[in-house]
Amino acid sequence: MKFWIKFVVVFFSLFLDFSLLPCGGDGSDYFDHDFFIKEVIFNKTELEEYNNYTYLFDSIDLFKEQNLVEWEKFFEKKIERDIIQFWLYGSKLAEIDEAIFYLENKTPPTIENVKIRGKSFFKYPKEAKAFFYYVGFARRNEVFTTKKSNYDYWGEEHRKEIIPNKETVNLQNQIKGGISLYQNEKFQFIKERYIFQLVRSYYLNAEYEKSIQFWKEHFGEIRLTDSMKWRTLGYVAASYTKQKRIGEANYIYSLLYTNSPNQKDSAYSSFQPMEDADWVESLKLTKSKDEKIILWYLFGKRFDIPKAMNEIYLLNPNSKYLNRLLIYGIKRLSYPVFGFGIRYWDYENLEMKKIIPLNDKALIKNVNSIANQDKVKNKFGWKIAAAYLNYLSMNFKEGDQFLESAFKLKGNVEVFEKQYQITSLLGKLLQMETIDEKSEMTILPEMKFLFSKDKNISEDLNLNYSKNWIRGLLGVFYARKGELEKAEWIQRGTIKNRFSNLENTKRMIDFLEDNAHSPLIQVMLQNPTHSYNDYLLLLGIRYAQVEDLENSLKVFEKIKDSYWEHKNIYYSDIPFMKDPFQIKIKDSYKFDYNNKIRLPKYNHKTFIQEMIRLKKEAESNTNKSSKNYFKLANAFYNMNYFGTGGFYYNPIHCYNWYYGWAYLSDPILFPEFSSTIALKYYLLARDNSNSKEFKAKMTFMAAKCEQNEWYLTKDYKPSHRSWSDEKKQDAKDFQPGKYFQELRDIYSDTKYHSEIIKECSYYARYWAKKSEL
Amino acid sequence: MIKKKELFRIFIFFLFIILLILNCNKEKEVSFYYWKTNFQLSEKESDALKHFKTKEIYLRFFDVDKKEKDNPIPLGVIGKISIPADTSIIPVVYITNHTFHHFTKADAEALAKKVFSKIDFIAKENSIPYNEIQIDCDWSDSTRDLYFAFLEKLKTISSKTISTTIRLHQVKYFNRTGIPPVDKYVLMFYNMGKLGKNESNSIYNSTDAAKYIQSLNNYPRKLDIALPIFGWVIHKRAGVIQELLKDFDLQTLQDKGILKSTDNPNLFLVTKSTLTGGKYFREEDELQLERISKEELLNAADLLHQHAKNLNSKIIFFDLHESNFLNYPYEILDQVCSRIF
Repeated sequence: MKFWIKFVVVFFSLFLDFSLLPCGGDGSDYFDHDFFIKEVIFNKTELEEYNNYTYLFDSIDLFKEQNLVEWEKFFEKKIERDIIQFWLYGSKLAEIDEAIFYLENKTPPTIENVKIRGKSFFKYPKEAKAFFYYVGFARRNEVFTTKKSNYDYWGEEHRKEIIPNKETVNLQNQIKGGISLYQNEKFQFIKERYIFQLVRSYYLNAEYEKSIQFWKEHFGEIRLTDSMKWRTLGYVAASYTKQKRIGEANYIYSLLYTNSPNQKDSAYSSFQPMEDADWVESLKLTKSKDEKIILWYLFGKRFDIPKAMNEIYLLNPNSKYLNRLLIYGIKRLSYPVFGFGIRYWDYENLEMKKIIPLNDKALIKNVNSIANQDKVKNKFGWKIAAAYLNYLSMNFKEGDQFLESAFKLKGNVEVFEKQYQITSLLGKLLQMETIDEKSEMTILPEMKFLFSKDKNISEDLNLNYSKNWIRGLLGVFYARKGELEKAEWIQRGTIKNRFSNLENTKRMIDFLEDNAHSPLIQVMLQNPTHSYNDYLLLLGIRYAQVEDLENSLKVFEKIKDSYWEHKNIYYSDIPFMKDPFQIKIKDSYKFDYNNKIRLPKYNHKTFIQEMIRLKKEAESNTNKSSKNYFKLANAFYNMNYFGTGGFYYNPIHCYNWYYGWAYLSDPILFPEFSSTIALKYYLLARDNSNSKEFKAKMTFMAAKCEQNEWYLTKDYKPSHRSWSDEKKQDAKDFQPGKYFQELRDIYSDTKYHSEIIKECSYYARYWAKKSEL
Repeated sequence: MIKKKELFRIFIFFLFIILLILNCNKEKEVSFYYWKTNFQLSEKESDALKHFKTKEIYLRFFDVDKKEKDNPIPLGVIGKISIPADTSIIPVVYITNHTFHHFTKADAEALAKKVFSKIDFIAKENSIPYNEIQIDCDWSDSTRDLYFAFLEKLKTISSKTISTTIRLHQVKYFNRTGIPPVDKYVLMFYNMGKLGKNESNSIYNSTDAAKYIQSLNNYPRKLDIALPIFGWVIHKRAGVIQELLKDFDLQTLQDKGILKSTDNPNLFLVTKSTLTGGKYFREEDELQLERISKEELLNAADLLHQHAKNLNSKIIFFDLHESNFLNYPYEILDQVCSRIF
């Protein structure tokens, strides 16, 4: 099958709507967005088993690999896999038929594929004949056995090329022919495959009883290939379902779930007890405790975790399925608790609940009971799980008791230690309503552990989610107390638009330069989301944006060289590809990635130094005033979003830069969108020049600044910004102001004016309108 | 002799009366949404179409959703469709708002192409001619631009009439939420509250309806109107919603004697765990019945009547399912229609 063919075997979609079902893989249903580490319960193999699932949405053919291995074995590896693959999955009927003609009558092949890819088969005529007859039969069945999947699922036409048309194949005749082929087949390996094909064909022909019957009569013959047995059973289960013999069907699905890895997930999707009676029947059909356990496990996942836990526990307290169900329960039930994280942007909402407590009393009761009875091998795992679940249910007393028991059992096992620490911390955090010196000290030991620089901890992905969640919560606590710097340091973004202005940025630097911090804050200072230098960079930017170039330079000079050389490169190298003192008629909103000319002359420091020099020179030397003011104006223009920008790109406010004002509710708060200082300098440049051409250019730049300001200050509603009806009349968004008028009235006889008409469509329209008048 | 001035007054008066009559006799059009994955009409459903002289059915073709940042996929794609005689189909696609998260404009436009191609494929496969596509999406401020880009692209590539559903909050706050760049609009006069709050009905509550309806006057587009005739049971376990059970008859559980009434007449407690019809109800689970009452439906019609000038004359009931006609007989629905217009 070609890689883009998205089909699933009919078996997977016999009677279920996938959109209504959870994924089958044990671990695939819910993310690990919680504080519980699966390795506490699972060993490596168990973890792989738990995490492993077949992504049915993307499945092309779950059995392809298995089929190829089996056919390779049949041909004793004398035929290359690619060739077998072509005939099984890529060949057309005409090609298969021609291969058969050759083998039967020695009719020389005419089709290129048959000549080239048939050659190696023809050396083994007996096997090849059986193979091609089987493939021809199977290919004719494909029209009935595969269906276009709903998932890719946009494409529709792919498969037509090699699947025969429905009209040309009759399923009834296929069954007749299949029986005959089966009866005459000499190779046991292929015979077994005919059994599979026939059970499936009966099913597809809605002859469910015959499907079951054929299986019953022939299942003993499937001896060589285990996979054929399970795949055939899949159709038998489906036939039982069609006959409303749900108990029998579900029992078979439970067998498939545990015995056929490729069918595990589809079996889980198909497992669907309907009534109490059929469920009881499924249980009665089991032949061992282990089979019962599988059924209960599936029941637990689908319907009732605590009930299933209890039943499995009674059957075998050390069943791996009991452990799996525990993890599944924790992950699934934690999801609504942690899934949406802390809504830290609502820090002002004092009514906001920290979390929605877990409220499944039955689960807590059963987990507590199992953990207390000490019959399970992994005693620590169950005790800590009980502590964890009790904390999430706000049963702090019970949680503390289990935590204490777990402490005694944790020994020196690393993962146990981690789980112990984060569970303990979770218990404490959930009891906190606010943060003060006392509560800081309470959580300090676990916080020190969790935010330790020890690589085992700092790089442990398992702990990342819990760390972020804790940051969010502490950020909210500090913000509510008005300790906004702490809040922002711990969790950047806790306070909306916090660093849009100079003052707040200065406050952050003051906070960071203050040495008197509590032990908890000291721990967090060692764990920044953004660094001190990031904030310095932002402060320097904010100073420059209010034209305080001296202070800006002082701040940039405080930043260590290593920061410029390494950390900042990601954010600031691109803009320096452009000269910040140059300007174009057309604004370049996005960085010009194609322009590889790097201008290493300027970084933040040298750029500001040059601005200071230009300003001093302009103020003292009238000959250079106009030129220098122009350069300064360009520099201020390029600092903002509408200019080439970017050299003021900073990790803390990079989102503003990237998305622009349209995505901000209060763009006006952010100086990076303002053009007022640039406007001031363009006008200064104009006033200090005697050249009409130059004045025209400055007037045009002033018009651009004016327009940019209008975008921000006008009631420029988002609905006007893009794709609503108004967008079609884009030109309406443009509003000619004072400086366009001056250009038209005073500078229309300049060369620059002609250039503007060519380059700037807004002005061209404005000019054309004037001409019409 | 009647003076000229009086004659003019009489003329104006009659003109007013004629206009009033014309306005009252708007040609009402009744349609239905059909929201199941298999389009197979029961006798009762076909009868309803005849009774209401329904010419168009709004047929859900598929939903679009995505997991986290994955690519969107169509879900619950409709199976075989055979159109009843004299009825045309308007394909409807429900797109979750989440689909547009982490999207770019290019993604939105690519999605429009995929959605149209899928609609067109299903329509052609079932020999369904169609001139309109309806998109149902509860877009938000953050997804608005991308959703609108999607709609624009859909319009361009399909060359069909595009309609969208509009929620009440989008009518009230249209300045902020924007007006979709499409040809027609359907106001969903339901889904008014938060799902699963025991004390209120999330399908319809007259207080919210009265509050929101005022903003209809300011909405700069005329709207078709969609009214709820469905009900559902909210299945909750330990306070967490497990499932919305559509077309589920609580009587099944009552017959088994495992439902306990509570102070809230629409809220029931499961007293014994049971499996029925493939659904599992655990002891202590809560089942909350939500449905708009006949009185409320008529009240909704009266409210809408006050703003009829902002409405087109089409009423679409959600949805065409035979059980809904047991709760809302034809005469009630007829009354609803005549009360609005």
